[in-house]
Amino acid sequence: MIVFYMDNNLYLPENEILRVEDLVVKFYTYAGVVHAVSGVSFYVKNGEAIALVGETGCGKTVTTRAITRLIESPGRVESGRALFRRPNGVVVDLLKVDPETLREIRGKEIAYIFQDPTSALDPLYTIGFHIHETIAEHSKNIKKKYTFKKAVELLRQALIPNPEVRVKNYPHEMSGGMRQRSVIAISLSNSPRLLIADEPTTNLDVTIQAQILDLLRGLQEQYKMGVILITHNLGIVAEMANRVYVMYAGKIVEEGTTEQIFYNPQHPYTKLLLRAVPDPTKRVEKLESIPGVVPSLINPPLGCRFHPRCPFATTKCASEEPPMIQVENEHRVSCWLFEKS
Amino acid sequence: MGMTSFLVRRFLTFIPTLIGVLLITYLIAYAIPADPVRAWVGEKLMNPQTLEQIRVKYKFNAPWYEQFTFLVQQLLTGQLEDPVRHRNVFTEITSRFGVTVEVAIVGFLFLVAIGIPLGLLAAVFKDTPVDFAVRIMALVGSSLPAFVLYYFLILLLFVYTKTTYLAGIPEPTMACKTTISTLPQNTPILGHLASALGSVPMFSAIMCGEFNVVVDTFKRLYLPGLALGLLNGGFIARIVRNSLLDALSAEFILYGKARGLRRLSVWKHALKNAMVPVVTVLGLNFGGLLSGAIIAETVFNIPGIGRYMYEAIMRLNFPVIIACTFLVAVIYVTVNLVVDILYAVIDPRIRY
Repeated sequence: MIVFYMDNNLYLPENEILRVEDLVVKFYTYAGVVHAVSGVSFYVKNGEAIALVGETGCGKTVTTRAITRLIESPGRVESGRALFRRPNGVVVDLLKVDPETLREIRGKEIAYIFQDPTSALDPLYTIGFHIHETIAEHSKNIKKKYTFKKAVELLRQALIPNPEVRVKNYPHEMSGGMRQRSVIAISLSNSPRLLIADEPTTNLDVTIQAQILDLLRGLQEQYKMGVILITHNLGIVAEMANRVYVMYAGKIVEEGTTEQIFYNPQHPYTKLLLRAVPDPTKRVEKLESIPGVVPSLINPPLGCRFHPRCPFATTKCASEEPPMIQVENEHRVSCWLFEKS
Repeated sequence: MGMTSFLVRRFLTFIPTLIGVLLITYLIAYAIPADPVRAWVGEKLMNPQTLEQIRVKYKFNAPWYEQFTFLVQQLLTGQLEDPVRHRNVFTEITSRFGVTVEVAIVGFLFLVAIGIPLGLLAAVFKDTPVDFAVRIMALVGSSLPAFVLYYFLILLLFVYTKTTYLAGIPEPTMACKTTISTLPQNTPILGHLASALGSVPMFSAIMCGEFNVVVDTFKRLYLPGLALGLLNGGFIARIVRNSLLDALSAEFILYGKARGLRRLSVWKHALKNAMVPVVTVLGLNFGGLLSGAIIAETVFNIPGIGRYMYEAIMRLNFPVIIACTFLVAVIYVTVNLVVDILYAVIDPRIRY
């Protein structure tokens, strides 16, 4: 009965738009059960941008897709909650809400920018149609003329030159960067409350990257939009995010404000990750790297998942999982080194 | 690069293709170590004079390339004669081809009606008994000798249940036929078109409004149609299944869901993307059906182009073989062209 009560207690602090608690996602593959996401918790405040950083395969994308149940077989969301405040003020658990409500939320209230714009766009339809569809499926009696004008507007906003022409283009008629910006335009079709941007600038030139980041930041302020930014580019994190979650092997190892993470990193993994970023003003003989490899998530290491690669690992690290330990206001780290004795 | 230039280029490639097909067929037929003229004439009229006459007429005493050019010239000028029946080959072909078209249409309807729904089911119920059953059906369909299935169906639907018959082909009334054959005199272009279409008995019946003939045609031909559909339906279903699963696993389908599309719209994206390979296979199958199902026409007693070809081969009837091969080649290049045009309609990445 306690469980029942807990499940129905959809309390979300007033200043937050999303709160994910103890999310667990597993993939049941032939090779074994992949523990892709193991107990991830985070929150996004209204109009705030958070960043999920970590190496490839650490579960960033899976975490964000699990929020709106976009995990397909053989993957499964095993447990957890994802509380989301809808524009009408109602708080729902996205992992339990009925499919039709979830559909209404997807693309309208929570929008995604997928990582690979080339495969995210249907090659048989124009960019304009993608935008038209995204708007029309969420409202009644929408005229194509209106969505077409809106599409041109969105493309212009996403810094696409000649939007009147481009709106009629098929994905294959555009460059990679252009497609990336089209996906951004599509995701903004319904002015979402929460934008999940999965590597939004990977395919772009550095100059365009800066423009797109400016654009996202501007829109974030304009629409008071929450942003979850997934990236392994720490430069972008510093530029965009208010707070940072560092992920390693399906778990969050450190969280804090961007300043805290950059100027006062605590977790050995975060420190090593930051050291691996080359400083363009200095000439270095050898680029820093983190020794060892990312562990298999089929048989993740016992205890702290980073201990096989950690220079400070003790016997305790190899047997017991560290809890999240508060080190400063808003700054928490999952590491035995900070255990208060 | 417009559509026009594409069509012109494609039509130009038809010429060497057709010449190649004719040449190869002719050479194979020529290599057969037998005297065709004796086969044509038959026992009764066999005397040295007649044989010599025919030999001279078809240039059998001249080198092979002269024989070949003679046949091709006769073919292209429409004067080629069936030396066994002593009638113009095209007259013979037209009436038979009309019947084959009917069989092809009925067979194709069955093929689509069997293959596509089964393929969709197999995709939706992937790795379940339904999927497995479709897989078995495709395997049996492509490995079972056709006549085994045909005779089994005859036993079931003709001998036991008597739901069909196996003799004759329903034709429109004489009055209807006369009307249609006189159409070209009144309206030149449309009339010729109508009379060409009218060589398919079912079509002329439709043009005259004799719909009972159409119903009868389906009653007569549903058995061969079902047989042809069953034989290739499993294969079509597999193609539909695989291309649909491919499309469904694409990232843009997931992105469609992430954009909050309704289930129906998500399926629309998947189905349209799955169509290109399906159109190819269906096109080739339709081409195959139009070229005459030789075994089916023999077993089900259908006087179509397949049977005509079979008889021609049995009697070394070179002129008929050449003419029929030409027809089949034309059908195939045309069907391929139509399929290519359909590609462009479906997929904007394909432009000509």
